[in-house]
Amino acid sequence: MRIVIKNQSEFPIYAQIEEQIREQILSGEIPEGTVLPSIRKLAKEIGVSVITTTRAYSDLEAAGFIATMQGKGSVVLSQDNGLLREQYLRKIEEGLLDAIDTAKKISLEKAEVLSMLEMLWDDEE
Amino acid sequence: MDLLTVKGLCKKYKTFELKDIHFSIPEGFITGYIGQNGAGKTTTLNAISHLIRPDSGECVIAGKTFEEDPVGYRESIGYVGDSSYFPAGLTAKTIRGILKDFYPTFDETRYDEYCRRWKLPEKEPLKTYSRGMKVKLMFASVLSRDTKLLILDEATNGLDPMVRKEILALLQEYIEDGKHSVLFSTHIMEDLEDIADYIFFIDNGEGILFEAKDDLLEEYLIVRGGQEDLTPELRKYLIGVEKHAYGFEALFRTEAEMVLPPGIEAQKPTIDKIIVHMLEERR
Amino acid sequence: MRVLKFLKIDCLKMKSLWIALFFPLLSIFILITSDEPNLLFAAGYCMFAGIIYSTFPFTGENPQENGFLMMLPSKPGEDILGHFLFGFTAVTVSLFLGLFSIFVSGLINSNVKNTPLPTGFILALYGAAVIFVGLEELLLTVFRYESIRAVQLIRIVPAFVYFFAANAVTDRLQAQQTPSFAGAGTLPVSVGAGFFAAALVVYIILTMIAVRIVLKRDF
Repeated sequence: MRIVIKNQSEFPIYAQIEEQIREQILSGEIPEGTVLPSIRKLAKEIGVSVITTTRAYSDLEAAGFIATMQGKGSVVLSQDNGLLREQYLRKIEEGLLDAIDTAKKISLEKAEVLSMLEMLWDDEE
Repeated sequence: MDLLTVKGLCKKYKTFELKDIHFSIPEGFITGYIGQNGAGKTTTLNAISHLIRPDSGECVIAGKTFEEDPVGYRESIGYVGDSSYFPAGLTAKTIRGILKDFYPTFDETRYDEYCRRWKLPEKEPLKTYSRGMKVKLMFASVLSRDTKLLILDEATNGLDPMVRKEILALLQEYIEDGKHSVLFSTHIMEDLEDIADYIFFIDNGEGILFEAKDDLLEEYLIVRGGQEDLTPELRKYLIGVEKHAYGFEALFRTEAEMVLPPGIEAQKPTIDKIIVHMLEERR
Repeated sequence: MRVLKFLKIDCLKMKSLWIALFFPLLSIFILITSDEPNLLFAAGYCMFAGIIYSTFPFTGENPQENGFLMMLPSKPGEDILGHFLFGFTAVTVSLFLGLFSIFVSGLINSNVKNTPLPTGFILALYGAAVIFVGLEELLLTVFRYESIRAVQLIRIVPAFVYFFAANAVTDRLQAQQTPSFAGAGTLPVSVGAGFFAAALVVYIILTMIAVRIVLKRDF
């Protein structure tokens, strides 16, 4: 696991930690089933406050990436997890709604938006 | 569970008065205690450690007051100040003997290890010790026995950066099991910025705020702008405005329902800046 | 017991013990060279030293240097009990040093050997010393954190009062009785012992008052 904090960043530290762990889980660097270091151990290792790591972990748990069990620590959950999937679906919806909103502002038609989507998707592949 | 509860602490001196201090520290966290020189930090910490007697108020550690159990109360506190509180004629060795006599949980081996690690000679009288060495000996004496609460009064002031880092790491280790707490007063904000969980801010004998550090950092932004940007409307939402020749800097509450006008630079605050502007506002 | 541990700390804090031997040695010297050895004076002289030493634990008790000791887990007042115990021990030890110096000089100077020991008076002096020390310690308990000046005064003045008073008394008695002043006849041992016993009781009462004061004041 790799955590690198930027003090000068505009993002609060707990958010940075959360994001970095999340990305490593998504990319597979931290495999499913890994037990993450305890909140206090992590705080000690990277030199931040306990409340900060607590918040990062609790955000991760709310997002469905990890599950914390009393006495056993925090475990990385499978990415096929239904809760997680829902989170992603919601995220996609948000993104799409955002695009629709913006399109309407400049009077773009649905057909044009759909073709943009197709083009971008193909490009990504 | 709260490890330390301070209620209604008052103490009057000729030129200074501590007014109705109250706060609580939960188990397992580090609280930074900040304020200007003379604001009352040392008085508070002395009252909690029972080195002075407050005029009124109560301090409870792990559910007990000093009056209920003076021996247990004292055993549960580890106090380190910024100057030596050992009689100058004693040596590290005689101090070890005293610690062994009075503290049942004192561990000689750990004490010796700390002395070795920080190169503190066993048999030299303390008057030959440098200031830094005296502080290290205080830490050695306090860390080699079981305590519930570490009270540090500007204890890291005289230490060089390497040792300070070491001490901070030891503090984090100390709270790692979630059953111990640290209350430390300091001017050195970097120490707080990193490891403090809670911040308690005092000014002129009065407690001003007690909050989780992360929350505090989210509540404010540092805004900067030119003289002309300082409209009366904006002024309403600013705290501790500092003007200089070419502009101003102030604290802005993020929950204020106001969109910052363009031309105003906003950035994440540091504890240092928050305190400075708050003090500015109070003057 | 914790009081004994405090006593141990008081002993640890004492640095220059060698000076303590100065007085008995001086009295040996005086006694050896004397034709009419004043044994009472020798004993009193040593106890004078004892009085000065007895209050040593009260020095250097400013909150700055003393924080460590003040924070030792104990019931309030136990450290004062230790000081009082130290004081009494100091006077007693100095009395024995005084007697020892008389004994040693007796081996060398037969004048000393032939002089009867004024036990009654010595006991009375012992009692007086104990009372002086008790009073000093009580005052010191009240003033120990107030000012160093006060502490110094309280430590030195009574001791010298004792010295000069004892001097004056023994001189007057010496003037009354020649050739060899002993005073053994003039103050029966029982009176001396009685006075000492009373002094002991006074000392204990003073100790209890001091502890009371500390408990009220809370340091």
